[in-house]
Amino acid sequence: MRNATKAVIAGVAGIALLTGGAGSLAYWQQAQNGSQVAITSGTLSFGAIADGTGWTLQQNAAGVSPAQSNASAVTYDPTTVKIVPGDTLTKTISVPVSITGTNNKATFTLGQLTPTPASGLDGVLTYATKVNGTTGTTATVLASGGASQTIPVQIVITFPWGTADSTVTTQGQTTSFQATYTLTQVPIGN
Amino acid sequence: MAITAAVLGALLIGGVPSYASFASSVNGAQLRILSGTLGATISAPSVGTASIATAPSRVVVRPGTPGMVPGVQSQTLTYTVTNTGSARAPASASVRVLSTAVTDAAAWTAIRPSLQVTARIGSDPAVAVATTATGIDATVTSTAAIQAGATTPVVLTFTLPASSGGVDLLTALLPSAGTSSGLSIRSILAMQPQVTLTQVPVMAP
Repeated sequence: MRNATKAVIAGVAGIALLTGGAGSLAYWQQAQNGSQVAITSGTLSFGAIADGTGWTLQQNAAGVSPAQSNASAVTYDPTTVKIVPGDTLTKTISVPVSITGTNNKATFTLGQLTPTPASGLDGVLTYATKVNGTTGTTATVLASGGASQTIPVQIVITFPWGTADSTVTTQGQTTSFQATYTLTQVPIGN
Repeated sequence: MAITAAVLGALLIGGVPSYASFASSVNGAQLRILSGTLGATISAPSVGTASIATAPSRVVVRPGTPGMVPGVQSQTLTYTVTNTGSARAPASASVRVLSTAVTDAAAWTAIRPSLQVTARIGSDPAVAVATTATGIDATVTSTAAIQAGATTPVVLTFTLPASSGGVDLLTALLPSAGTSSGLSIRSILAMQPQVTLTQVPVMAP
């Protein structure tokens, strides 16, 4: 067969191979899914807080004369009992906290809403607090302490004894006290 | 590489979620607080007498005779003080023994040098009260606690002795035979005592 003919045939065959379209050429590729990894986020929340009842009343404020250091504490009934100068209202609250997450760490903060309604007791009543047995309003909460924890909080509301006063601005008043409880995450390394 | 970067850029620009650290906040129950009151009232006086000694033979004092009879009976004015405050507000009383006017100046001048005035709050001992030319203005204090809703008496006693400085006061001040009354302080002074209550601690039972 003449070379020219062979070339033509080869070329035609080549073109046929190229234009035939039955197969295409590509670099290799393969895909596969890895194992599933479960991801769960932690929690930071409060349980039910029982701070509306169980307050005690005692007339042992500083300066009460004669001193009443041994004054009996009685259950405070807010519907009937009216406080007077020298009285203290005390409540210890076990605040339930839920905290999970290996690196979860939070600051617990005790606060107070503005007393309502406004009254002659505003600016007169004083407040003292302890959190986790320490005077103050904050504590650190770590998940390493357990998923469910209780933070002991003590609140003491005092009607100061002061000095004799014939004005009536603090008499016959109605007001309220309401605590606020906050958990705020902080970095684990803090 | 260019394709990979573009894909990543699409993921970042997507921007639907935002991420924040955990926080939780809750309000406690509202605790209602009521404050009490402290108040006082003082009643109009109950007028009475108190026997000093038996009248001399020449003098007859009929039972129920009002007023001071020198050496025989004193006149008493008894006021009732009430603590009208709320519970947990016991208080001690301070009384200003006060006359607001001398209504019979001649009689006041005549009896004042010999007049003895005492004041007693509750069961406290009676305390002597000084007089002046213009009447009486003295304060007597008690430490006894008056519970809320309770009362305590304040007794003013006006006494003239039988004689003073050699003068028979019975004859000098009550010269009219057959007089039906002694000398009433209320016709000589306008008495208007004032009471002040001061809160005292609620004592442990």
